[in-house]
Amino acid sequence: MSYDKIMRLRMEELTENPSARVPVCLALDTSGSMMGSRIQALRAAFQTFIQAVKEDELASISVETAVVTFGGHVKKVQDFVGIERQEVPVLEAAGGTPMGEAIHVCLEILDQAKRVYSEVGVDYYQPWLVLMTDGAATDDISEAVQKCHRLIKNRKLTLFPIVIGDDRGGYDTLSTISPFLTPLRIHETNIAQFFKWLAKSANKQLASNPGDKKSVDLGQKLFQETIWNDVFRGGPGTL
Amino acid sequence: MPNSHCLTHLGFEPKNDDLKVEPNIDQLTKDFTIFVDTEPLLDPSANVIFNSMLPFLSSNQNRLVVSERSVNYIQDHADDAENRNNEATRNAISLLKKMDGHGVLVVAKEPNGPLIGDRYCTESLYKEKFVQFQMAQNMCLITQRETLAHQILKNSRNNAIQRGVKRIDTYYLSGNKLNNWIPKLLQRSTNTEQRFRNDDILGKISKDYKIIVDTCSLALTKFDDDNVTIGDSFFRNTLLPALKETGNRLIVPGRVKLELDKHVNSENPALSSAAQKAIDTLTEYAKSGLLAVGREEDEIVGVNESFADPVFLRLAIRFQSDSNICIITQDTSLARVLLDNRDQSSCKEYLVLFVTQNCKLALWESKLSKAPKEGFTNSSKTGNHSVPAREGGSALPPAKPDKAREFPRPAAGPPPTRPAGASASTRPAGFVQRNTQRRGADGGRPGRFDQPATQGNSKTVNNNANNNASDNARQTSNEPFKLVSVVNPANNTMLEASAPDVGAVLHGAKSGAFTLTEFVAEGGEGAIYLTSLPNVVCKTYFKEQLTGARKEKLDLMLSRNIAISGVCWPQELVFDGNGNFIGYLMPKAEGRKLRSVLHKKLMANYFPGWKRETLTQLAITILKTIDRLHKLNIFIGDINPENILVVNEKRVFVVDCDSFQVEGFPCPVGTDTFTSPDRQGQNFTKFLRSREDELFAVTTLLFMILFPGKAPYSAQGGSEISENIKNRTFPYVRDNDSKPPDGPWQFIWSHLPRQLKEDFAAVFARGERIPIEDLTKHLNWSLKDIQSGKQTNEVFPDKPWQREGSTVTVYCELCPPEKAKTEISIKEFERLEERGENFRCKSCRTLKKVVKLDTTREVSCESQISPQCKKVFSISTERLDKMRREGKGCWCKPCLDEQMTIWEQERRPRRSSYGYGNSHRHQAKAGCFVATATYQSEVAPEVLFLRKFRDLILRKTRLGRGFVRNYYAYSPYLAGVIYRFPFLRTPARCILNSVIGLLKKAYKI
Repeated sequence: MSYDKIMRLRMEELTENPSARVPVCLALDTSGSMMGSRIQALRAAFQTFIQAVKEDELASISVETAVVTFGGHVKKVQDFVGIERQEVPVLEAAGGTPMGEAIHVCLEILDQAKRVYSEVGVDYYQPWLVLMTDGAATDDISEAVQKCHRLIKNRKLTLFPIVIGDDRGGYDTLSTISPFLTPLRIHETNIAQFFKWLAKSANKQLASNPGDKKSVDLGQKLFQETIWNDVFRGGPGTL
Repeated sequence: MPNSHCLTHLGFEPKNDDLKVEPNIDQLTKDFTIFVDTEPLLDPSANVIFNSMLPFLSSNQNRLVVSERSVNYIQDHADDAENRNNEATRNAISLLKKMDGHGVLVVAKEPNGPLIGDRYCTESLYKEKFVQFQMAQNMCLITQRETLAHQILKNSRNNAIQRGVKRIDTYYLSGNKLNNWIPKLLQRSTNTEQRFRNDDILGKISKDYKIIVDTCSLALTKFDDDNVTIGDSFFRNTLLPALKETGNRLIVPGRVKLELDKHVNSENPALSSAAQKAIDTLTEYAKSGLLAVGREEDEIVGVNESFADPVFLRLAIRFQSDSNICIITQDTSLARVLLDNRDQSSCKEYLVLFVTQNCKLALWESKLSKAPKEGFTNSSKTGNHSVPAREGGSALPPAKPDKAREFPRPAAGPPPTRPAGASASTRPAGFVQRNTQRRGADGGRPGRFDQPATQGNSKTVNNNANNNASDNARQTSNEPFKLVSVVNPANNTMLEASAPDVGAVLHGAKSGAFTLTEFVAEGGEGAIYLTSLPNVVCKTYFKEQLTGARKEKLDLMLSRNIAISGVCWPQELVFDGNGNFIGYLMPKAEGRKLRSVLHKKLMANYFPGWKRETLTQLAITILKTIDRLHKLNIFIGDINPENILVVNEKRVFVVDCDSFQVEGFPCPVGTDTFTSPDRQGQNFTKFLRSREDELFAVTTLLFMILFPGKAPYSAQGGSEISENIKNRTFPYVRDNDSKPPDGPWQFIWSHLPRQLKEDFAAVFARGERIPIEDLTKHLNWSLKDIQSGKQTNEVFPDKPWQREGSTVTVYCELCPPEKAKTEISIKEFERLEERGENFRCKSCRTLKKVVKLDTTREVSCESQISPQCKKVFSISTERLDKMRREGKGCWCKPCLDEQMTIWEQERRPRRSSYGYGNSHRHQAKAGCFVATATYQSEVAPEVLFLRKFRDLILRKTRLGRGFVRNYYAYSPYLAGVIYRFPFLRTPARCILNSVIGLLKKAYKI
């Protein structure tokens, strides 16, 4: 598709859809260790996610997604689009885990998305960032950690840290990045369930929310309180 | 007694004289002014009768008065060859001439110039003249028209004596003599009645009558119980079999069908169900091929499509001389009008009937004659006739004491587990506690609660309906809830019960045992199931939601009998097998969430063909429903497109009623979009919404319906929803500098009628509140404007509103040619001219903007000379990436300029020391002086190459920059030498060529 055409579609999407948007940025680890069944499961799970969001009428017109992969180098696979136009990205596992840079890129495109919404006059909720990895970062993450902490504490961002598998390094890295939420460990076969939960809670955020909870808190509250019930009946720590 | 009997039918009381059939011609010609209508003159017996009158007239010096109009008619039709009554007219002319010759004829001319109305129409003329002169002289009219005669009689005879009216009579020609109309009129009515009194009306009409039926008969309900429909059972069980035998068809005017459709959507549940039953019955008829539905366009032309009365009158007038007609209606006034229009001269039968409470047909004549005045409240012998008021459909059903019996107290089911201490009252302890609380809160109105409530004092009991623990007070009523200012203390006692699943058997407080048949939906508090009960769904709470407060709130809600169509108000509590409270039953809702209307694509999908008119109507419907709740002091609280279901623009459902705010129970949920600026960020469980809060939400909802889906505070440069609301910048008004969002929204605003614009501006820009009545009124105006074409009917207009004739056709310079043409106002055109710009349409401008946004990034200044700058500016992605690659910081323009000046100041002294003061920029432009002199051109390829070499390679390194500087210091002298001695050019060229060759090889440029 030509650039012009893409831009025209984006413009129509922005001006014709009046709903308030929830920008969800998915940062997916595609390092060498994800090779094989994990990357397969991730692809399948992504499909489930799109399906689940599309099925919910309210979420389907509100959720916009972007995909950033980090495996060897950081790649912006997909800038923000409505779920209707979101496709399952091509994921190829290779290389290291440049998480620090990936977070930079994610925060930048989230910022950019907010700027576009604001300039065009589209209401939005504070963005969600799903950070999914299976290993420790291979680059410097100190600056990324600083930025994330600042945003999360100012309620400008909700971060969902997910560790695939039982890697200790990955868990520790995510723990440093996420100030409030403890990372969620999931087995690769549960990725799809997590994505389903994500679609559902995006919807919950949009529907009536208890008043004392700001939307960002709500996302986090949901994460902590409901994900265990919804995704894993067994409770924390299950693999 | 004929007298009393005929009173209402004739409209006056006949005297003894009136019963004489033949008049005394002598007396008549002596005392009366005799008017003659057109038809008697054309009657075959006219010659005989009028000739016989001639001598009397002459002797009494009286004259016959014939209207100019009658003469007109007769003259005009005498020459008409096609006129079948040619002979009669000629006859009449000769008769008139003869009478004129005898001097007994006056042609009454109308003094006021040209005739009013039809040239031949005498009816109103006579009516008027008779009224005008009724006090002055005795008059009689000879006419063949029954209705005219009847009306003239009625107009004057009514209490004639008291009013000093002279004698007025009417006669008709029949059997070569004059006959008085009155006995005939009397006879007619008694005739019909006599004949049908004990007869089988049904058998007669089903044979050879045209049976036309009215809405109110079809949807007739029992007098004392709205829920028993008589119309349904009569038409289905009595009339239908009879018609099946004869094959006669039931005629239902199209408007009646429309009216039924309207009633189906009525707020009154009884009316709605009756109408539904009626429609079902008609479907039965249609199945048997016994239904004829009138076509709308054949009937009455006009706007009010569901008003059917004129249709009957028209059908009756039209067909009465052609076939036997029978009209079934319950409407007294319609029946009167229909009977008044009965043309007695026709030989066909004409019946106006109604359905009795015993499912029989009866004649209206007999009923009207029994009931002396309009409202026959006294029950007659048969007793229980009821006529539902036609206009009753839109009103709320009156509060009926019977209803209270039908809906006994909720606690009548299996006993719920109760906290201890509530043994005497059925109310849990928390309830009592709350009352105490409220008493404190209402301290400003002393005396109201201090008065002890006694059962005998019904008024007090009523007032305290909800406070009094006595059972009497708990009877359901329609009394509004109280307005309370303090939130009830939370009763967080957890109740014992666990959420059931599909298939579970539960107990309704009134309905008894039922089964959950199907899962419908789940929310934060509980789940909704279909049940084995018809049209009722059950909401069951999750275990952790089953608090004492929840039950108290439902108890309070159930204390009122709230039957608002489209509001799924709780109907009864539901208990599990152990008698524990677990949820409630409510009417089943249908339709799609309002969300589907508030999105362009979804609307096109689910409600195709919706126009602005439809949207406006929907807004009116929703506002009306909310207003009904407000009248009872019920606030929805969580007004939200998810909580309203739309069937069509006239039928909506408000769901999630258990979250509504009643008295001290707040609505514990809400969304940012519908929360007023002052309440943003507050905990919904901790405060009670005020009417102002609710009106803010209502106006927001209205805005979001008219601007499908767009929130009022969305604006360019906006932020999060809650921030936008807190900032209160309403972008559609001019007094702030925020701009409306891109897209069709600004166009919609410009097409909005002024009154609605002002409402929105008041609420969103000035923080005022507009009552729902006013909003509805303005919406109705808007609806009229749309229907009359004054306002656009487009949901998404593609250009702003422009006064006709004040536009200029322009072409967008960016659009494809076939789409480019549009119109803009002259003012805007002049502005463009002034600036010398070409026109670009809105969507192209937005596209440009989106592209620009996509290709630029915002960075904050990373300048080192002023680290505190941090100014945010946009920079193209390309440039940014390059700078990042090179490890350079992004500097904002002012910082960069500042740095440049510093550099230049540093450089200047050094350059001047070499005696060559060219600025950096000049250098960049200048080529190699030597090479230029050698090749004698500034644009020779070699010169360009050297320039490129200097910029791309030499300038990149410190050594190279030094060389360039020194070179520019000395080369002008060298170049000067070469200019002066042209023979040096060839060797110089050789040297340069080889140098260039070497450089090209070395650097691969």
